Amino acid sequence: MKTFKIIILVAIALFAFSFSVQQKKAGPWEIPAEYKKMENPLANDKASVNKGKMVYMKHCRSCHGNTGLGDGPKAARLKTFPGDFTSAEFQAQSDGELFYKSIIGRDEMPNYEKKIPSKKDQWSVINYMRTFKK
Amino acid sequence: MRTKYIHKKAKNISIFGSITGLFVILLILGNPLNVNAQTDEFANEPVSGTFETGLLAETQTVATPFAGEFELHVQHRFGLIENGLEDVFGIYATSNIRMGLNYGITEKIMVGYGYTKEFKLQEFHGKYRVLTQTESNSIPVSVAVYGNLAINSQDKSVFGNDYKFSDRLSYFSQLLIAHKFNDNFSLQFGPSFTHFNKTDTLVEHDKVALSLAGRAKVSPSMSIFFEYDQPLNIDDMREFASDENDPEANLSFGIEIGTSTHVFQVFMSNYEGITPQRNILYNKNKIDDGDFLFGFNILVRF
Repeated sequence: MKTFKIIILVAIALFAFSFSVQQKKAGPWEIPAEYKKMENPLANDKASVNKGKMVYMKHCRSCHGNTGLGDGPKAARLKTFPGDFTSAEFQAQSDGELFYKSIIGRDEMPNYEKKIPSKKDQWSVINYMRTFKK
Repeated sequence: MRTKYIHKKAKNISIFGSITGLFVILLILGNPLNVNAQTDEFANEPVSGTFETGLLAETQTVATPFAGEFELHVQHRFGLIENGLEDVFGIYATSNIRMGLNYGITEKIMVGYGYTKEFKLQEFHGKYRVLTQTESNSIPVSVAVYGNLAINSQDKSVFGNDYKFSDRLSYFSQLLIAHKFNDNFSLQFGPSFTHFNKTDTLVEHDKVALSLAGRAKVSPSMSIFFEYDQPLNIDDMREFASDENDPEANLSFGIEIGTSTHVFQVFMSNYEGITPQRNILYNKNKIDDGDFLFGFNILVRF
């Protein structure tokens, strides 16, 4: 019985420990050249930002947070930190690079080509992400 | 009696006229998408998000699941609110529930199955999106056709003496025409035809009905919506002389919250049948009398 209790305690400790493991920082992305130089066909105006906000609040907010800090309600359960969209480093990327990361995705960042099928919606969310710049 | 019929007929026609008229006028006048069309690049793209999902309160919409996507539906209707606090506005009253699963075969074709608690209805349905509105309005509306077959799986004793399997079957088909006016507002008009192989005494077997539904976004993820259904109780189309069993119109209104994987709709409605043909042919809850009930729809995509 005592051994059983010890096993249970060890199990609980391991379980708790597994949650305290720090999220790892995202590794470098391999972005195809065609995306790197891809131009945003959508003007960055109020209409596209508003549309982008709708898309962002529906599909992205739960992990990336309301203000793009990567602090959404589901973020804590991710193995990889979803990134800080307000940082200068993030905003320095080209629209094409952001498009690849946001729509094509990899690993924990899902592919959104099916869920956001409209090209206009896809680019408008990139325009909205530009508004996070501090 | 005859005067009453004529009066009712006129009322029906005027409602029919105003619903179609309103839809057409809005379609012609309100065309802000055209004004906002930015570049030619997106001109022929299909518009997105006319409706959040293929179901809005009691009606189907022109939306279909993506290819290869499943949708699990949980639809719940509480009892009428008429008893007030006695049964907490119908929450403790007898309720009706439907659970269903839809699957997108292609971007435009959906099939599904569902079962409803009342009358033990087993329902098979399908929807085909014929046209999708484009950003430039070169195609001004989205059009879909919807059809279902419901099998009443109650004990055969409820069907009377000369029971045949076909007595269990009922059908509902609808043409759905929707227009997205801008990112915040969409309207849909839907004439439908209902047929029951066997009905209660002096209840018609066929019924044509019209539905008008609209949705307005109030925040990026929340919208308010309404739906109005008018069965056409017209004398010339009447099967029996009596209008006693004529079904009543329905008004539903509520809020909708949509996320990437879930859609929640909480609303008030006159309809309690969930399955559309039951609603269209058998609804006795009157809007004028305040016979409303609370309902919610939950949808999970996976």
